[in-house]
Amino acid sequence: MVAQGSFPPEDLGPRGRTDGSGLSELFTRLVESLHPGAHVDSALEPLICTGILGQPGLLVEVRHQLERWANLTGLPAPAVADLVLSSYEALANAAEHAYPSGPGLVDLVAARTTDGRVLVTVSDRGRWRPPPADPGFRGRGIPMIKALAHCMRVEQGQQGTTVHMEWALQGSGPGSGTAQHE
Amino acid sequence: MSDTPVSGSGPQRGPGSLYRGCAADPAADELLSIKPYRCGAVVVAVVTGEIDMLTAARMQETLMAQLTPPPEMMVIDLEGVCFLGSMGLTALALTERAAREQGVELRVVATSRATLRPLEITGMAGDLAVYASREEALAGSSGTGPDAVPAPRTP
Repeated sequence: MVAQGSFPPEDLGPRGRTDGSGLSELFTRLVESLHPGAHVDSALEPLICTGILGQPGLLVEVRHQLERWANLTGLPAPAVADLVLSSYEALANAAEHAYPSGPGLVDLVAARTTDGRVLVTVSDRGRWRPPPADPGFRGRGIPMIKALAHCMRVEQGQQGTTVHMEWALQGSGPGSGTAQHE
Repeated sequence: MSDTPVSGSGPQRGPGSLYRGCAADPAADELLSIKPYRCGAVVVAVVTGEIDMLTAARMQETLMAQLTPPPEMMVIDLEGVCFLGSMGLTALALTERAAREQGVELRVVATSRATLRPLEITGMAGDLAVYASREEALAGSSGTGPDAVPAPRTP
């Protein structure tokens, strides 16, 4: 499943081009570069959506595509719903906060690992504005992700912000998740 | 945001949508329908579809418009909602505040996990008057009753 967009070469490890080993291996290397120590389950092709313009109408399409993919992972339906909501909140946060002067590019990568986890990574290439001291009626996105994902962490770097989210295939019923963050 | 009357087509999506090259908004009316019904002193707003970045502002606008002139009570029926993101929660919170300021009693019908889960994890289920059915929400109201409003469609 390939979404439109180009691969940022810096995300692909040693070199963006493979030696003829094909897209699947490229995807696998991309996911494993984002998640050191993770091994992608080759039975389910990762979902890679890179270079998405962070407009509401386009993020809806990514959400629908992610939902179709997540239904193939073996996660129970409540966890699929949590994954889709959580990932959408991460996308919306990236689109809203990273690019105050207009839509910028957002990336989403999702994969199932051989040790029974489903990983979703959402990255932007901008800078998050610091959250207001009193977010008032807004600012629910990140707390929602913390509540919905079995694990989550946020990495802020020079090139943008990355939200890592994770769900376990086993014991992933509602309410079994414990949020973690750094 | 558009204040176009709600389309009756429901949340269906056309084929062949792309990430780039499509305008951002044509899908919005298909993703969410908001149908307000005024029965005496009660407004029932039947919301069906997906509430997200694309559609939340239109929902809020439509709901706010029902507060003028202020009814005694407004019931927001989310039974047909299959996705509720934080922007939708914000729209509901702002509508609740506006209703409270005008002395309108606001009740929300949420029955599915898709709506209850986000309301509960954010604590909003405790801030809003949430009911398990439209009948329960309307019980005791001075409106003409639930029969005046068609049953919700499942998306």
